[in-house]
Amino acid sequence: MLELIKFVIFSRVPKRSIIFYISFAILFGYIGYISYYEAPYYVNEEFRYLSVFYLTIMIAVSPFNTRFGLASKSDSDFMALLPFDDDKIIASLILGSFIVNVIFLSIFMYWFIEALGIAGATTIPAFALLSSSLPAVLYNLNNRRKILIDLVMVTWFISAIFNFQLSPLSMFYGYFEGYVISYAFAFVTFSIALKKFNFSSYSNFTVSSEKGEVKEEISFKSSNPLVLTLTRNLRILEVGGRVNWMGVSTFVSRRVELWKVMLGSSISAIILYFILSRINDGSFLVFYVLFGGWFFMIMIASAAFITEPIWLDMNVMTPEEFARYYLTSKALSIAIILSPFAILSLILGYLGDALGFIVFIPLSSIFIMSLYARYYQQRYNMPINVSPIRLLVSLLTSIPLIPLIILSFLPAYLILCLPIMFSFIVFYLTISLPFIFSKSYWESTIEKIVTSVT
Amino acid sequence: MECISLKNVVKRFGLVIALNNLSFSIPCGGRFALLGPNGAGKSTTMKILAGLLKPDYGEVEIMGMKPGMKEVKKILGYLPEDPMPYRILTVRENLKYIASLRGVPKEKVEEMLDILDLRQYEKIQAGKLSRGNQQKLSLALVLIHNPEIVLLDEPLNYLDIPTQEKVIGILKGMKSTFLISTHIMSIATRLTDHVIMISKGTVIWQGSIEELKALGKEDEPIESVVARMMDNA
Repeated sequence: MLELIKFVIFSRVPKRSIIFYISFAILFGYIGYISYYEAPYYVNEEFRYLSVFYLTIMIAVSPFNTRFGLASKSDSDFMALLPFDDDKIIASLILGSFIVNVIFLSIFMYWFIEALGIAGATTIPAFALLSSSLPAVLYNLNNRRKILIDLVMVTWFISAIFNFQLSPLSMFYGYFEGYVISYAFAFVTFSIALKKFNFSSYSNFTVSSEKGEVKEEISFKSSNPLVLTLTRNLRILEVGGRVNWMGVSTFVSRRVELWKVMLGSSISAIILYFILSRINDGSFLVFYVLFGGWFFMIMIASAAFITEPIWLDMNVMTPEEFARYYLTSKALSIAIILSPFAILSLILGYLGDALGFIVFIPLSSIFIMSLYARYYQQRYNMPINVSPIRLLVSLLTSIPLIPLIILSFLPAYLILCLPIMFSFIVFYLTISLPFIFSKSYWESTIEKIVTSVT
Repeated sequence: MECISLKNVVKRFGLVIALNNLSFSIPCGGRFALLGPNGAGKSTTMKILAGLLKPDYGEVEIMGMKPGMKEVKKILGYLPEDPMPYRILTVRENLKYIASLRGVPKEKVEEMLDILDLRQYEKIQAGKLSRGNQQKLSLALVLIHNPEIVLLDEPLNYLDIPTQEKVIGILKGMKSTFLISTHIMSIATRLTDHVIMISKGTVIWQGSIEELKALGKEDEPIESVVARMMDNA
């Protein structure tokens, strides 16, 4: 069984990457340990927020890892036929996935240690085990049920912020119960996974979130390629794709009409208006809303190019034309979806955040999509694998987030903000526009995509 | 006049030499099959001709122009191996989108839906179709503008026998210049009349299918002849 577990681990993460991740975790864990005792209270508090936010997202995403997280197609095709008991294969898959998740989560050791001191490191195994076991427990539920269960879990996890001591994350707010509950929850889920998971039915399980028949057809009337690409990307949105956010990755895909997403963002903005207008200083919360907008953009940007039929685009367009139209239309769709939050920020007097939603985040998406296209290629039909260069790209994509964080510390007064806003606009244009106009970048990027993907 | 021409083309991927001084030409209206063992460089050749890859060395021309140019894209149709159309667009939307980009009349959309039996799936998202229907849709998207130059990489993959016959009929009825990459000799013999055989990125034999057949012993299947030539290369 040890051999099977080793096989599962090394088929997901190359040895070199494991060494890199562990070295990274030890180094930053040590830095976190030193700075934990020196850092002012509010810094530790920020890391508590970040830890709770990250762990909640990680667990919320894990049930959707049905085929792409826990077991790959190769596992389904070949591992199921190995002369081992199903129980052993299942346990190996979950334990292998657990160790891989421990390695990934260790990258964030710094956060957890900054939040809790050295005890922060002990949270990692519990949440790694939980994220490996949940897909095996919930694999045969439809997406609606998974979302319902997710909502309950997210509420339970997030309740730690409101000092609910029975939350699995309450340790971040000083309750020892958090450790006990998180480990108990992880072990119970693991034992259910061992009993419930059936490899044969899992292997034959088809991931299908919709029937595929479309009632309202898009009409392509123009002959202008920009207008046509805009029509395609502004009418419908492919939600999901490679959802990879700081190591948490999965693959989901669904056609959603843009107006429905707009309706959702408008309703959220209205609800937020009623909440924020009743709070004296809402700047802190507005930052988290802005961060939510960033996270949404990352989701869209991560899905870019995954299912795009480059061969078909290249039949009718040159690489730079395609990239220009594609990136522009994606960035515009992000701006449109986030526009209700921009209006909300304007009404509340936060000009910087309004610009953040409608200009800075969409421009960041061009930078991120361009980097992903070249250095973090992923296809819908290929398993997700990780490498140090990909981790580096993930870190690079965090650069445009820095000015957004600075925004939250700026005063809301218009006059003071204007020069800074101008410099931010210049910064975002500088990192995004070269990608729109660079012919050679896209020629070699397309060649790289075509070479690695048939 | 030559419609497709490659002269001393070299293409490397790191240390691997995919194409090694590859040279051949196809006259306009010619129907050629590109044969070769796995890893011979067939798909790389097709991608270079389609303008998706650039050669490291050598000259490539499509009707006297460089692959990848807008003028070439107007007259060329390229189908890769295992193609996938726009997954979240329906069959009809896929056809309408490409027809609009190419400036092809909308009637061609209806025509392609009918001749490839896709009408019953017109409202289904391409990503939800069976592999065979995705292949049919991809063929429709490649042929919608009646391309003068047609590059097809394993065009009959995943198709059932009746559909294969239908597609063979459609392709035979076209007056274009064809280069078809395939592993299956029966497809080569039915769709083309000339063969370019490559191995390790170099042409090892070129001629008509009749000449190829003549190289074999009496009653020797053409597949055996090809296998022997590839083994000896």
